[in-house]
Amino acid sequence: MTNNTLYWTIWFAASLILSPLLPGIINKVKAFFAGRKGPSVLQLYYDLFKLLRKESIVSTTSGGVIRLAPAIILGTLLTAALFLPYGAKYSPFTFTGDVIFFFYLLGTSRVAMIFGALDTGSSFEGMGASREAHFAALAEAAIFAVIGFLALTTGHSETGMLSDTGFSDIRHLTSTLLCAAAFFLVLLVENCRVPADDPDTHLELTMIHEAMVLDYAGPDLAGIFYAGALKLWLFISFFVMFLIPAGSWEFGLYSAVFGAGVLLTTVAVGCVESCMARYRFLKVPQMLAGALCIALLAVFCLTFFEGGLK
Amino acid sequence: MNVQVEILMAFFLLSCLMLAACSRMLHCIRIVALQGLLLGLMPLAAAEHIHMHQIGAAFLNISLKAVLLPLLLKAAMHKAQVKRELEPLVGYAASLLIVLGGMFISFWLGRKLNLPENAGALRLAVPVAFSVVLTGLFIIMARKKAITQVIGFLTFENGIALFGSAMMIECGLAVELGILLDVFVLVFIMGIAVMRINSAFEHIDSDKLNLLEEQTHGAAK
Amino acid sequence: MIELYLIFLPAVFAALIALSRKPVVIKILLAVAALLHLAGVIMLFNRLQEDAAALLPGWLEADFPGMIVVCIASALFCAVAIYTLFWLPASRKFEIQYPTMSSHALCSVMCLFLSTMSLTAFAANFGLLWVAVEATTLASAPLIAFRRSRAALEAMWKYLVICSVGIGLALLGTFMLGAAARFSSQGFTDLSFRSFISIKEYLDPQYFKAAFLFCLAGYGLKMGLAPFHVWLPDAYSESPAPVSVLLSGALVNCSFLAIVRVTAAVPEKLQSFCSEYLIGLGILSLFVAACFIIRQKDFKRMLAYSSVEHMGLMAIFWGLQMTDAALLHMIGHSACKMILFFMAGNIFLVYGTKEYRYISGMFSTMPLAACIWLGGMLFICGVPPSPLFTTEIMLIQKAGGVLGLLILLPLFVIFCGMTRTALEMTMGPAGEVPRKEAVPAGLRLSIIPAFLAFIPLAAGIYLIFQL
Repeated sequence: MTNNTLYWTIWFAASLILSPLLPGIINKVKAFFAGRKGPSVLQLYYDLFKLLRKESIVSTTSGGVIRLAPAIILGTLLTAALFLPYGAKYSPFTFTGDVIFFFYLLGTSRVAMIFGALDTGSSFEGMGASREAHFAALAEAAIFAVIGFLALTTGHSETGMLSDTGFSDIRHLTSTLLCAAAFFLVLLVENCRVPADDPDTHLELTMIHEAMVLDYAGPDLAGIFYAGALKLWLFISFFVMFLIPAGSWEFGLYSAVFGAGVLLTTVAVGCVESCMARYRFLKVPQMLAGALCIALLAVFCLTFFEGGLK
Repeated sequence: MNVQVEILMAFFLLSCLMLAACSRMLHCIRIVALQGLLLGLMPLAAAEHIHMHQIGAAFLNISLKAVLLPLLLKAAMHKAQVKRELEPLVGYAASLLIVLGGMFISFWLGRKLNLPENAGALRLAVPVAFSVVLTGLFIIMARKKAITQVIGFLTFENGIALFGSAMMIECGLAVELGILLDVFVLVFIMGIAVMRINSAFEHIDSDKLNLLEEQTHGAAK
Repeated sequence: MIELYLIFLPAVFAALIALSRKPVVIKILLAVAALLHLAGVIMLFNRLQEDAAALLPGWLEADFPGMIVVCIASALFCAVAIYTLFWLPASRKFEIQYPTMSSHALCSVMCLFLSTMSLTAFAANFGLLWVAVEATTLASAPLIAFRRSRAALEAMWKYLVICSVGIGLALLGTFMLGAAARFSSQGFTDLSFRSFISIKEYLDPQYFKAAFLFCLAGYGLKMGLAPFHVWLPDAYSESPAPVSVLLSGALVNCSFLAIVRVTAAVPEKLQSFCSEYLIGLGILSLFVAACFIIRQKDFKRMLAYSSVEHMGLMAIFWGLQMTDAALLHMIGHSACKMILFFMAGNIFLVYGTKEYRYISGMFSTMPLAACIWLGGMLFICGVPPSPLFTTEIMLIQKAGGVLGLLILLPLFVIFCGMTRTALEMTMGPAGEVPRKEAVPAGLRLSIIPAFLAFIPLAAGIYLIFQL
């Protein structure tokens, strides 16, 4: 086992263990803004343990997809996690074009989630599923603009290219900032955070993600919760890896900066969540159109002014 | 290459997209105030050696464009009892795409007006300034209310001033003051005009300002 | 020194008028300001002959075109001040449909307007020039909304928005001029005309082209060149008579002067590029004016389109490098347009309408007014012995075949449209006069333009003998 693989494995294991921390941190930030003490950052771990000890109950009207859904969701997300270049080097599983594979794995998990929601036959869950599909389709465009930008700057299409991006090349500063802004918007929408969706709400008419998971219980629900946290971790690490030019860094420096980056981004998500109100549904597509526009703008800026293709 | 200037430029581009998608009058005014702040910081960021008069000019710029004019606009808005929604003639998503198209044209133009190699951080001055100018013009045309036209005009003016400060064209303190004074008086007169139009027409939608069309001018009596 | 005096004197009087409340005092102050300004201009003419050094080189300098512009503005302001003294009471008495601006506000802003126009004429720096031209917009906007009618407010709003945007483009052009100098081998020093003229052959051609186009669009919009003329008919027709005289006779010259300043810095190799654009816009203005004049119902708007026509002609003059003829045309146009707008004000006072189909037989109701109106219309169309006849002949001679035809055709259409309107208003049976009691006032007010009409008449006859 080479050093690189070792470092990768360390961070991969850390991501699996640490990801349930992120929702806890966000909740802590929100509590701070509201002037409350708030639940412990470890709250999600407690919830997961509690749920794992319960039994799983499935609605009698379902056709069985709902049983499979949590497994598929969790499986695809764990597979996706394998491709992120932790430790600043290529992941051991990388292949050409795997960044597209990465996002399609995330897409597959969403499809499983939607089918699971539809399977219950509940109208609320159907409503949530339709909204999820709608917004995800729009978010896809912005994601691919961002991927296009990354490929243009680095000339690669593996996830490993993330280690060369960000503020490594000062000539690309403006476009990198714009692209990061676009990706941050996508991150908020994809992870069902305010202002696209409100994870705290339990009003049926305003829910998206929460509406889809109403019928899960016990270990299934634990899987869904864990998958949500892992997805947030994947997006946030993608964002941080994009920003830090970690290509040739020592492992210690990398770990410190990456960890701090993840923490800061999580706090930023919490701040956005505390300062903004949820948008009306009509405005969410606008927000995604905005993200797409910003990402395209970054591409213009890059191709016209910053040296273009590598 | 100048890192601060690049960051300010990125924020300028973002502010234009935000303005195109913004549906609340107050938010629009805040975005224009943000642009004023960015604009005031620009000469400080672009200069190699900061002189006393630059700090003075930046201070004046910020206090006028980021504080005073937005306050004036807010006052006019409250006085004229404008509804907070913008009622755009062009929908927000379409606005975003049009503004993006404008930016594409600006970047293309900026590339045509290619700068000498040693221009450094100035290379983004032309496309970003043009983007802001075009966004301002678009807002003037595509929003109904008279007060949003003032907002559009301010954006337009910010774009021009951005070009001037990013190109580091020293026009002398007298001219700089003159330009600021002109803009201030203009917004002031526009604010008064908004109120007068409001009381004469009982609304301030500028698309209802159509008495003086060529065909119907007889009705103006 | 005199330059500063000419700029600040009207501003001081504006403040005095704003502070005073008695109508008599306001009238006296307005007249005194106008006369003192005119005296200053005459003194400046004397000094210009001595070729004395400028007080603030690079900022304020008096040169020949600037002198002509300030001279026209001052003379016009004098006439307007005297006219206003008699027009204001008459207007207050007979035109009572709308609330209006107070007299002291009107007179005070008019003085400020004169001050900004003087600043435009003397500015010797592209930045200062822009500030001054924008200031003329700001000082004239409240004047347009003298009557607080909906139409007047609408005209003022359009004027403010469109002109400010246009002038904004000119500011962009000014900065681009700076950029053109910055990327030249000589480097950027300041925005004064002198430094630009001294380095003009080295300017970056691409940036200069962009700068020229932006300045032409911006200042051309303020001047009323088609296709940027949309604000002009509204503003001219909705403003009261004294204000429309100042707008059409003095303000457009200031904007034209700004274009003159920009063309002074054109490098030799871009000369033909710039001329083509000037001539192209000029021809377009002629055609647009012809199209709108021939079917125009409103006689004040017709005069406004006639301004578009003459601005187009001036642009063509300048494009063909006929500088003296252009200045001559400018003087002639201002004099004729002044008389016509005074008369339009008088006719509006008596008839209460701007549509010519409600007016007929002016020869029997107000013969003096009818004579001047018809004569003025013929003069503005360039019928000899108008001074405009001479300059237009010179233009056609220089322009030659195709271009000459392109100029003559719209001029002919405009002649038809304007004389038809004037004849229908003056000839025929005496029509209904809505305000019979205003007829004496209208006739009395016509005495001022009747005297002024001798100026273009004498000048025109003199010029024809010079031709």
